[in-house]
Amino acid sequence: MIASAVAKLDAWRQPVAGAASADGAYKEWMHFCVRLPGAQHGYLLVNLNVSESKVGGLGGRVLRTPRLLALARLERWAGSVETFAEQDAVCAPGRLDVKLGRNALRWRDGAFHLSLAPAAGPAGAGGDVAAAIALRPLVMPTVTSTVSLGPGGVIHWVVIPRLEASGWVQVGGRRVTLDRALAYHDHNWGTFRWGGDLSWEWGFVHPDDARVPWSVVFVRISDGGRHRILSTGALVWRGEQLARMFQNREVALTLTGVHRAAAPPLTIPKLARLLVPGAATGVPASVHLDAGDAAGGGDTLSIDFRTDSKARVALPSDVDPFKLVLLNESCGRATVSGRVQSQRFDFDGAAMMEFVRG
Amino acid sequence: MAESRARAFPRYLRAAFALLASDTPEHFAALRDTLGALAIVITLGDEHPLRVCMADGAASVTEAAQGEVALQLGEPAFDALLHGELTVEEAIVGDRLAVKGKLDEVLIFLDALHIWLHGALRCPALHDLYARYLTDTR
Repeated sequence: MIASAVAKLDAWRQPVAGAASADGAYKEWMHFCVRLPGAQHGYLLVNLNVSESKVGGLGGRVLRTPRLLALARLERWAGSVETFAEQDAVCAPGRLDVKLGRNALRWRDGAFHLSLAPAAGPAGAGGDVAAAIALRPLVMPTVTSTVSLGPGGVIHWVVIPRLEASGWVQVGGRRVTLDRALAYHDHNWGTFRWGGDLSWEWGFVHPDDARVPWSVVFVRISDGGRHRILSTGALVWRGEQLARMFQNREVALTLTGVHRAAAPPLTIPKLARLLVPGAATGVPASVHLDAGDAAGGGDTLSIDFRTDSKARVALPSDVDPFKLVLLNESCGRATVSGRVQSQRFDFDGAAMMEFVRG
Repeated sequence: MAESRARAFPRYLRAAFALLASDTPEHFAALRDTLGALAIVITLGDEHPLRVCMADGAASVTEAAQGEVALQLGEPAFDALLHGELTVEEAIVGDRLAVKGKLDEVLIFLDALHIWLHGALRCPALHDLYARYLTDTR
């Protein structure tokens, strides 16, 4: 049931022939976060994406740029971004398989099989992170959620908050074996411009005790200045099923303080660090989420996330040729409590949040 | 045996300017307009000083020591900069990069460097060249 739902809901959307957007604003990615055992707040983050951009002015064409982003945190962060030629990306609409150069995501026998192969040179993503992991979804995916970002802008997503990951990850010289480690997956697609009037925060929590049946994911999408909230959501699964979705006015997200680190965070691509020296990132020290039933029912959700460390992904702005957008990937701990469908829950766990600023 | 990064630098720098001009002309034009008549002299390790400037709308990279802004750094610092392990600010503070020139001209150089980097991050061919530079040299 879960496998057939994933196969139907999570397939690649971008058309195989021609551009998905006339103005080169289409983006699509498959995103995975895998809990790494043996390290406090350890996570592997892998993002396989294809972005369109308009090149050559008015009479120009839409160019597809495939990229692989691989970040891992053991004792410290490592990772890089690798860009591929258009013809080195194989991803067909209606299928879940994505191939970027030597790296592949394959959907077989009810599981994603992710392989990251080291590049020959130091600039490749695999130069820092290599992996072979089977990721089996343990809960039902959401149906597609859609958020309008204003004229011409829209983002769609499907999320699976809990998968079990088995295989291995190699970070630098250290190899980590995964035996049913918890993982997270989402799939996003839509038309928007990095550096446009847009920012977001999203996150998820994996319970320390895998027997805890609850899974949570939360997101807030705002304008670039974070003055106007476009969409807020907090989703709660119990076992395999999505049990409750708190939306918009039912959810309040509060960001507190500034996370300060002893050293500047890892920034990828590594050359981008020359453009964003220092440690300022806009990442808060903590985030509190409160959700309650707008209809006056008894469902509640409270999440307290505390940032432990972060790495930055620098993306070129699509709007300003001399600006960057920073995706701050943050690991931490979270305490989750609440009540859904008359069932109480209260657990601690490892968590990740992403703060998009630019 | 692979060529040293410092020895290969002029050749790769010329190739990088050519890619910037062809693949991200907006950044190349901004770089040209920002540098104007300013010449930057880069001395990498024990190699000859390299004069970088714009001449007749194109980039010029020649062995010469005359320029308004002079940069001197050792090969380890250059490597660390290339790998993003060190920023220009950190290199200066740590005495790993010496920058000489009038302050307003040094600031122009830093603006030009930022324009260069923004272009490089938007140019896949330049990324490939950068990867080859790191792979093929030592």
